[in-house]
Formats: sequence, C-alpha cells, structure tokens
Amino acid sequence: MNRHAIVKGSTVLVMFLSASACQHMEPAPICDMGAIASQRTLVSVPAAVPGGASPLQEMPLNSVSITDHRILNKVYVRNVTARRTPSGTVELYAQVINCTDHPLQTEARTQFYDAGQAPAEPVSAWKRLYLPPRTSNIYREFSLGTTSIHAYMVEMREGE
Amino acid sequence: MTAYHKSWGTFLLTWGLVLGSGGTAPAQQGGAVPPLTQDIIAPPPVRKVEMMSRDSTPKNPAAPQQTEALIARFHAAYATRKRPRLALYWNRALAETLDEWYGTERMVVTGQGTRSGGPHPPMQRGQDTTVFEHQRRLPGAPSSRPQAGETWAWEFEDGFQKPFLDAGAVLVDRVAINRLTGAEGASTPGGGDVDIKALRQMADYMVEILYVGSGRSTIGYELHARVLETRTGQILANVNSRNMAGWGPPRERYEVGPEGFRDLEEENEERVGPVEERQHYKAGPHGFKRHKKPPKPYHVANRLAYNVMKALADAWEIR
Repeated sequence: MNRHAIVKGSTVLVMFLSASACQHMEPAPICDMGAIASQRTLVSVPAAVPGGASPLQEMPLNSVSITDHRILNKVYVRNVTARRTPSGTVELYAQVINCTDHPLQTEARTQFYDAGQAPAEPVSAWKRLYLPPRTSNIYREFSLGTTSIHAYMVEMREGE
Repeated sequence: MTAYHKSWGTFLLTWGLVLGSGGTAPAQQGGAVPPLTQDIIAPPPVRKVEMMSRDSTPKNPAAPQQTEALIARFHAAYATRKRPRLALYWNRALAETLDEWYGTERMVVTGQGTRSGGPHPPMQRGQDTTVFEHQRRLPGAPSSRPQAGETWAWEFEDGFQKPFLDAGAVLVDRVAINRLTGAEGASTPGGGDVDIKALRQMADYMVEILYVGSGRSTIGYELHARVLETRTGQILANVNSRNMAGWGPPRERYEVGPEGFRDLEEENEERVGPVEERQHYKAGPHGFKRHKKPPKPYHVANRLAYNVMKALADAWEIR
C-alpha cells in the first residue's frame, strides 16, 4: 500500500516537473476553434412555399462563408468591414488569419446584393490570398454599383 | 519549436473537426454596408493645368498682335508713297489682248453667175463674196474663269478689303472706274481698251486676285494675287497660296483607320491649305470621329490680304 502510494506520488511529481520544464509561450495568433465555431450563427433562407419552413441553413448576409472543408479549421476571419469609397461604391475588406504552422492559399469572391437581397451585379472573380504560417492577409473587393449595393456575401475556399 | 507547433496544429485541427462535424463552415459576421449619402461622394478633384505659353515666333501673320503691327507698317509705307489708289480685280486676269475675242477660222465663199431670160435681153452677170468667221473668247476672259457663288464672293471680298481699309488704303472698284471712263466717251465699257484707260487714269496700282478650284488644297481652292503698277506695268508683289505664310501641308502625319495608323506624309506633301485648319471631335456610336471644318472665305481672304500687304510693304520699303 505504501509502495503504491510512493509510486503514485513519484509519478505525479515527475509529471509536475516535466510539465513545468516543457512550459512554452504559444506564438500568436492562437485560434480557439471551439469558440470560433460557437460564434457561428446560421439563418434560414426564405422557404420555397409561403408559410413553410426552409430546409436550408446558411450564413447570413454581410459575412464570410468558408465553403471548403479543407480550410474549415485552418483559417479564421478576424473581421469583415464594408465602407463607401469617395465615389460611392462599396469597398469590402476582410482580414484572414492562417492558424496553422503551414503556408496556406485561399481564394475568395464576393457577391453584392441589393435591398431586395437579389444579386446587384455579377459575382466577382476569385482572388487568391497567400498566407504564410500564422500570418494574416487582407481580402479586398470593390463593388461596381453605388446606390444598388446594400449587402454582400463572401465565399472562401482553399486555393488549388 | 516546430514540433511543438505541429502538435498544437494537430490539436487545433482535431478540436476543429470535432466542433465542425456538422459540415458547415465557421465564418465571421461582418459589418453592414453603410448607406450612400451625399456627403460620402467626394467632389471631383480640382485640376490645375498649366499650359505652356504659345510660341511667339511670327509664323502666322494673321495672329492679332502681328496683324496690328503689319497694318501699322503697311500704313507707314503706304503714306510714304502718297496714298496711291489700289484697283481691285476680282478673279479677272488682265488679258494679253485688248479684245476678248479672237478668230480661229475664216471661210470665204465667192460666187459668180449669169442671169438670162425674159423677152428682152441683155443677159445679167453678177459676182458676190461672202465671208464666214468663227471667233472664240479668250481663255483669260472673265467669263471663262471659274466663278464662285455671289454670296461667297461677297464674303471673300469683304475679308480681303477689311485689312486694307483698316490701314487707310484707297481702294477703287474696277467696274466703277470702267463705267466712269466709258462715260467720258473713251470706248464701249467692257472693252479691253477701256480697262487700260481706266486703270491708267483712275488707279495707281492694280491688285489682281485669282482663285482656281484645286483638289490639292484642303479648302478646295487655291489663290493667287499680284500687284502691278498701272503706269509702268511693274510687278510689286506676287502672292501664291502655295508659298503664303500660314499655309502649308496639313500638320497631321498619321491617320487612324480600321487597319491601324496610316502614314499621311507622302499624301500631305501634295496638299496645301491653312495650317490652323480647325478640327473638332464628335462622339458617335463607333467612338470619336474627327471633323474638319475649313476656314470661312472671310478668314482665307483676310489672310491673303495680310500677305499682300506684307509684300507691298516690303517692296515699298526697299524702293
């Protein structure tokens, strides 16, 4: 019994010592994917039948939707901002963080919507972002229209 | 360090896969598009354009400051000649002969016959001669020269006379002095001799202005002016539109066409016309199209007059 207690105590001591010896500071940025996933809110698109429930859940407007499961837990979109340019068009920019220790390439495109949530103009071309390990980059897009733009949606996928 | 990161990456990946096992992607909700208000729209930038000053070298005698100087110079030289009278001949070349008509062929028919008959002879004999002559009008006669429209001529004459009148020159009209000379009983008005008598008696210089249609000219015609002293026939000035200041080959060297740029240099060598030919661009369904607008006869005549004035001033100052 005593021997067993000594072994257990020694094990705890060794674990404590080894843990204290291996304590390192984590380099930023640190992505807490659990928290990121918990922030996600999906909305229902309007149902095909009036009064019925829509079976489709998707990201709300004015957000970045990562559509590629390969980078699902590798990147974090820190913020998405839209502002008007002096000419009245909409400038959209999103900061994307590579949470991994490997270089990543992502691609993104934007669809701008009008007040009725209909596409206000053709979807933009895919733009590629190069993300070295644990770095961030800015995705930027401009609308063509001015008064017709009321919302946007950014789709992101991994760059092939 | 790298291994540590790899372990952390694996850890994050694992948790991410667990949390994201639903198949949907985590994403970031962003800011809405701000409404478009008028204060957002920036006014157009203020453009500060500094143009280079135009070359003041006297290339164009029709420029305002140069014309004033030229008129003053002509006025001074004209005064030293005691204000001679200038007779203007519009598109009427002085003919080589006094008569405007000349014969090209003549046919003489001579006949002889005898008439007999009746109860009482004697017989009658007769002889007759008839002359047919074919005449042509001289090539230099005014009616054979190309004639422009009357309103065109008014505008042209106005443009030519204006600088001379500004300089205080005495201009006399050819028709008027012909009629006056003819009324004095010299000869039939319009005859060649009346022209000469009228010129000798009522004018000191004759200004002959001729124009001919020309496909090489950018305005469709070319001009020629010369000044003769009526008393001696001496030529004082000779101005041709081909060597006139302000005229020359068109400036453009290239023309844009459906097959690219076309070199116009060789074609332009053959062409003459006002250098400052006005151009403007008009937007159309196929882009901008260049429209050329030739100068009005008033301005063309104006320029010819300034060139004649300059030549006269040169001649009088030398003499």
